[in-house]
Amino acid sequence: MNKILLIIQREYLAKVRKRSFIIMTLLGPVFFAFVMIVPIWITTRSEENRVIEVLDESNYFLYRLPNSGHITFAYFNGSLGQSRLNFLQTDHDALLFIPKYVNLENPKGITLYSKTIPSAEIKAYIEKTLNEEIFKLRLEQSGIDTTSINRLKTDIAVDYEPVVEEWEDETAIKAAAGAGLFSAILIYFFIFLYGVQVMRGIMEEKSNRIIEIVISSVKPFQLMMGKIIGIALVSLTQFFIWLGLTFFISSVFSSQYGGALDRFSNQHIQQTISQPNMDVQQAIEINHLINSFGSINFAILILSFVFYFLAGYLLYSSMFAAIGAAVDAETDIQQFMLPVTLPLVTSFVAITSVMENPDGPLAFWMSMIPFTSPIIMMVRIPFGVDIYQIIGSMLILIGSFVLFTWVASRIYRVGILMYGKKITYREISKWLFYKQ
Amino acid sequence: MKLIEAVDISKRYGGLWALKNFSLSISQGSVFGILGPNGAGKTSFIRIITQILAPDEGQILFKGAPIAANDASKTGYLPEERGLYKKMTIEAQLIYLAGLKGIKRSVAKERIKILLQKFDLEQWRNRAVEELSKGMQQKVQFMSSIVHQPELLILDEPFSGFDPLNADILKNEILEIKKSGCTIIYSTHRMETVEELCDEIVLINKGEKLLEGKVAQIRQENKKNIYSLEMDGLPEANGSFSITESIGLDNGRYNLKIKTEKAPNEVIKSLLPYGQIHCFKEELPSINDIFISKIRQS
Repeated sequence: MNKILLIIQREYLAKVRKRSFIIMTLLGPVFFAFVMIVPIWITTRSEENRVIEVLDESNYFLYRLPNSGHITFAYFNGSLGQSRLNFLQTDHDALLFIPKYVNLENPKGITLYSKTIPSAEIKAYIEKTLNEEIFKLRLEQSGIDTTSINRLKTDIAVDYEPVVEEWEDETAIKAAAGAGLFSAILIYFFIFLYGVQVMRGIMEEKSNRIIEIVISSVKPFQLMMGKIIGIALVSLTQFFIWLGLTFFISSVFSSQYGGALDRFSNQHIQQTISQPNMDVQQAIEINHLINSFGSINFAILILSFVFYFLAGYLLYSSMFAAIGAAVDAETDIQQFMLPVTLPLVTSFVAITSVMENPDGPLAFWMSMIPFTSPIIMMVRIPFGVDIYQIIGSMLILIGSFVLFTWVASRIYRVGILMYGKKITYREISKWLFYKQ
Repeated sequence: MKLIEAVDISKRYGGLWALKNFSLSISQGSVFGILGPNGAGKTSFIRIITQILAPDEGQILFKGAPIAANDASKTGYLPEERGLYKKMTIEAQLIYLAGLKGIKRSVAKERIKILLQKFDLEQWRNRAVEELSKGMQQKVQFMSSIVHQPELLILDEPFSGFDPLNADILKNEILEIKKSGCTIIYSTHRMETVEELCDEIVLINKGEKLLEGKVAQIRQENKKNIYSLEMDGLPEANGSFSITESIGLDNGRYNLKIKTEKAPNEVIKSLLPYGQIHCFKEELPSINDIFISKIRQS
């Protein structure tokens, strides 16, 4: 036992002291934070003030178009030709022209002049604003009180609130899908990264010819397991450092750019929806998404992640260990890598289908088959999976890694002493029954 | 007392016999040479003693009892194809390998310090192995096989890769270790060192034992009854001897090789009439000659 601990310790220290590990560990959270922060940063960047000049010959919309947080309407008089010339000399973003005899029943001829192609956001905002103003004007013309309509709108928005906790809510599904996808990708990435590290480590020991010295002191199985467990600890170290650093960076970011997220908080959202503001729907959606992430049980998610990652890693790394022991040269790896990586890649490809139907037969069977379950079950768990299915999947996975570790150790013990021989599947199958 | 006894060991790889009913015994405190051409079964036998491989049949006895897993800690092994962890420092590497043999870190550190001084590598203690020259790496590999002070040291072609100077240091170190009571198994096909180092040898080919015994005894048993002599006159071959080689020297003497079945005194008597005899010596075959002739015969 002491010897296994020594091997684990050596593997662990050798890997965590490597420059590549330190760089990856530090850059990982920066990358994750980048993925999370950039969209928000882009949103805040795009909110720099946009000025839209308005030449309203009809006078229907004069001083009626509401400014948003970063879109301001400036009204001008004069001819269209003169206004266009003036507009070209300013740094304003667009010129909105509304012709004199615009028909509110069928408004035509409203044109947006812009020095460049106007952003979709500006175009959408102007269209939405004009639509709403025309709607209001037509209500006035029909003698309907607009305040009653506004009150009705507010009620609808408030009624939307209670369904947030339900899975029927699309934003909650998005949050679950996001959490599942993220965990599954992380598991896929970790199994590949660290499984290959086990393989390369064994190949290195074999080509270095240190292996014979070591196995004259310990059993090959102890050496293989020591390496696999040592690298598993390295990966967990990296995962928890990533988790901690990501949390830290996100906290620093939200304290710096708190305002950007603050307006989506529950408290703010109440204020927002009480005002007739164009951002309401968008703000509610983001608020729902934030609330839905809160509704996911992260403790269960992290525990399942650790289990499925470790069990999946043990299953795959024992196979990678067998490959590392069997081959002599880099060029021989490919033929053995394909059958091992194929189920991993298949799981990755199937993620989208599983997210669309997390309780369907594809999702069920792929979360039971041990080669695909570590990834597929992680996609399903945030959507809520029957506990018996989870236990079943875990037991199958544990049984499989015990079996595969045994098979791999039979291949490993023979493979590490084989040099200069062309290895075939037939040859490897013979190794399983060698007495050693 | 016998340290190692191999009893009817057989090992097959597929249809190929690596060892076939192979038996031998190794006396405690001796240097035992295992000789044989490439593919003879030397490495398979060593791997069975080091418990890297198990025999298909037969057993190995260590001090009279079947060899057990914990006997591995009493064995030091320097394989023919050997290496080290390139990124690890010399000290960390030796501590690790000693640890796998059950030596505590503090004890290992003390021993490593002495070994590094002995092999003149003290200033390289904290350097990574990849920074060392090949000769230095060979020394570290040798140190790794003796740092736990084994009772049995197995050296498979220990001199390969050493320059003559370092080979001499290594040879002296092996003799020193032998003096401390350690039993050494020395596997090689470099015959020149065998006579110098080995007390006993076994010659194997195609998994089978061709001969076994003490070096002097084997040479005696394989002698060809050839004598070399230097004398003033040139004798004529008669019924008691035949001349196989004759070289005239500048000083008028002759260097001769004669073959005879008679006892040396009788031969000398028959040579006396031809002149003064300055030198008379029985020519024993070298282990190298015996090796080549036995392999050819088998």
